[in-house]
Amino acid sequence: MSDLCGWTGKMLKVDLSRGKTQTVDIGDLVKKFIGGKGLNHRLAWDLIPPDVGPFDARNYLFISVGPLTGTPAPTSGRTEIGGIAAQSYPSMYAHSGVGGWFGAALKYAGYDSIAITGKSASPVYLWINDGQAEIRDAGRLWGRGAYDTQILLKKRHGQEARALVIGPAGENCSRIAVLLSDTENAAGQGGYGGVAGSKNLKAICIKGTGAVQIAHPRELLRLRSDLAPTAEKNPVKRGGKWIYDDQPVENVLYPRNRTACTHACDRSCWFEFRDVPRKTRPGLHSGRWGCIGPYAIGWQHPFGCDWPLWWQGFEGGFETTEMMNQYGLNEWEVLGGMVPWLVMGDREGVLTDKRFDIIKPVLPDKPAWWINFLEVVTYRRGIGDLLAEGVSRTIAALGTQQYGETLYRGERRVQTQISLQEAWGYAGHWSGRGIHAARKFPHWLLEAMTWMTATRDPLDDTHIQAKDEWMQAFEKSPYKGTKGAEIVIWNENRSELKSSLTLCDWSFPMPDRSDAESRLFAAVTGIAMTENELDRVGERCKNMQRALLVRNYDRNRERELQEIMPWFSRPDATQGIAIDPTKFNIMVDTYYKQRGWNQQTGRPIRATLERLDLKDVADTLADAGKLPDKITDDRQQDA
Amino acid sequence: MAQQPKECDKNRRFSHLPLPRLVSRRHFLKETLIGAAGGMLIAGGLHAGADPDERHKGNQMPKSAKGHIARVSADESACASCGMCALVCAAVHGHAVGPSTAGIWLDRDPFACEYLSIVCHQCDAPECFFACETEGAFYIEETTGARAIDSEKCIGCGDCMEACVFETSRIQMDKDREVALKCDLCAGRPEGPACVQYCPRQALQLIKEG
Repeated sequence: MSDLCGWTGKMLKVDLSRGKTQTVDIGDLVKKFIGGKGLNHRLAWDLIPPDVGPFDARNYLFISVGPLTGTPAPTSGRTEIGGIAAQSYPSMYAHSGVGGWFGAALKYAGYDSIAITGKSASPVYLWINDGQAEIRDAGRLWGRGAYDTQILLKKRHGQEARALVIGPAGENCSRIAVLLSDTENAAGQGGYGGVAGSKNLKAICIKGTGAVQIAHPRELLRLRSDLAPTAEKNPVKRGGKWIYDDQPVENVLYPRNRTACTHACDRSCWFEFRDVPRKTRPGLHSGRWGCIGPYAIGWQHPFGCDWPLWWQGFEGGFETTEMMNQYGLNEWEVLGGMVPWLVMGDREGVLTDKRFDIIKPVLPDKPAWWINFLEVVTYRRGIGDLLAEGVSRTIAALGTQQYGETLYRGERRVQTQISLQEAWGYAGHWSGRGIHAARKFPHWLLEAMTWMTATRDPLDDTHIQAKDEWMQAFEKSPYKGTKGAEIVIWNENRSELKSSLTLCDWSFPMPDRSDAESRLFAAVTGIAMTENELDRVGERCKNMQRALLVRNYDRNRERELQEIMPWFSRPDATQGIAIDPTKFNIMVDTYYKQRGWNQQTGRPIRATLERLDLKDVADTLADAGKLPDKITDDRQQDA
Repeated sequence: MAQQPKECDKNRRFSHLPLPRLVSRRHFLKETLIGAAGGMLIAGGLHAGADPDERHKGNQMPKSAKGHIARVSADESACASCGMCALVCAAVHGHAVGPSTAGIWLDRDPFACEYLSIVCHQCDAPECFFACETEGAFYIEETTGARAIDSEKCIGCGDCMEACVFETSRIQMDKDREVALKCDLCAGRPEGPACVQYCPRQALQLIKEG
């Protein structure tokens, strides 16, 4: 057993081209980058050459957990996926988190991480049984749905085996294919299902019966109690009769419950349904929804939708989400970007390409339309061959002017372009337009800033949390003050931390309990760190990723502004306010300066990287001529 | 008995209404002996004067436990499937945390949304207790009556696991320490069983049947 607490200090390296597996010691690496997302950044820097694309055999799939994973730390069961993402447009390094019980199983099997590269000549799956890894034939699994694959694997390896799998969409190298675990737990964004498919990797199945050493178990349990939401005492509510937000949902006839999506979670955000009649997959009548799922039936989301709603009833919506899971399709892309775009495009008569005929008329209120549509996308029939590349690439291929910029004159209060693509190839997220349309100015300025330096929709793990007084200070002077940049940086660093430790996207950080992460970290690992010291590790992880983007893709300020401006120049959904580019540039100056990045290029300077113990990274960037010396400041600053 | 399942749930499995597997011959003999004695716990009388250390090898019935861990609601959906019960169990007992270091764990079928708590029933006639041949390794805890294992004395032979009357044994082997492990009702813990205390949904309770 490892003498580390929290970590195992081991990584499983898998080369599918050569059919080899190898265990590597990463004890020093996890101490520096914690695990999960932060570890993946560094692994990508070390192992993936800069010119590698998502479907290149040299690309890696990194599947990593953190020191808290597998312990009673609340919401700690998450897993982080990294590698060159197929969905990002243009393709680049990104990440995706997934809940469920897979991450804990990985830890119990003796690993903090799996790094998979190469390409198998035929379909295979990776079977890990307590420190023993084997690449096995997946001939009988190939072609099956993500649920059916998992059920077969459990029959083969036992009910306690946990799996991360792809469906037919991933096999067909769709850029919007997911890696799925259990039901509805998906590494959704990034198209990592397609990356796995390109490697002929159908699944990773794990049985782990080992244990994680905890340095201070009593302290950890005390923290768990401190951080827990108040337990529901009413047995009617805590049982199967819990109604959505205490309100009767009259159209839902099926038993429902709130469940945890992730091992060790104490929040129970998700809805669970049973005995729902099914058409496309009789026998699987149960399922869970979190986050995007309820959109499938047109339930009004508390944060509002900036697109035409549809209504297909509960059974139709359930069928739709379960089909997407079986096929291994990205629900966010389909529900938050693709179908609203198709609805608006069809109503405006712009879907003139003949290939669209296979899905026209676009009728998302009809379950039969969904069944055909999802098959078309999964198996790349007709326009599906293009849709499987994601909406951004589809619009780019068909013509931006017609397919992206046509104005929709439907229900929306403010006329808007039909494209709901925000930046980097992803549908909108928390930005006052598209999904989460209720986010108001100036709050979406924080989202705009966060999107700038990302490689995918960043609000998966940066839901922008802030103390009330921070927000009040920000609202007083949104563009010119420093508070906006400070809130963004705090959230970005905490985002790196929570996805490295690993903790839940929705529950952390807690602005009023901002020492939660550092205390949990110390209780599990025995390494005492103050809140500020741990924040510095989060900053290190963010800069590690930044350096990767600079080295691989020449990321710079100009490119980032170009990417986000079209979206935020659209009037927002609630007040019709658009971004002010000149003033926003002042905010960007402040942000880069506080980051310790050169203001003209947005690239980290040597002093910043060395302060974060990344001297080797600075040297590499210097050799490539991509390391600015100082934070030059030749712009007009605010007074 | 615990609450009966609702009509609509009758085909589901319930962890707190476990079905004993086929009664073993030894179990049958023991029940018969006890039955013949008028249901009184006097089997020990048959061994009157025997060495007290031999108690657990005889058929004397130990005192009943003060209860066992079970789900609060007959509706199994009260469980949110977080697995916290197992994690805190391992942690409060000072073990490394993992699926083989806890006395309670979840048997999950996510595709049916069924999550069963697997935990010792603290049987009145504890086959596990009787099966243990190692002196002092399996004992009846004084305050709670829990059927408990002394990990210092356990030799990890697995006889108690085999003897468990449930289809899924309520005792498991701690892989690293090579000792059997089961629910001891958190004996000596002032707050009572940790799984009950820490369950986020308050879905567990300590109940006394009959």
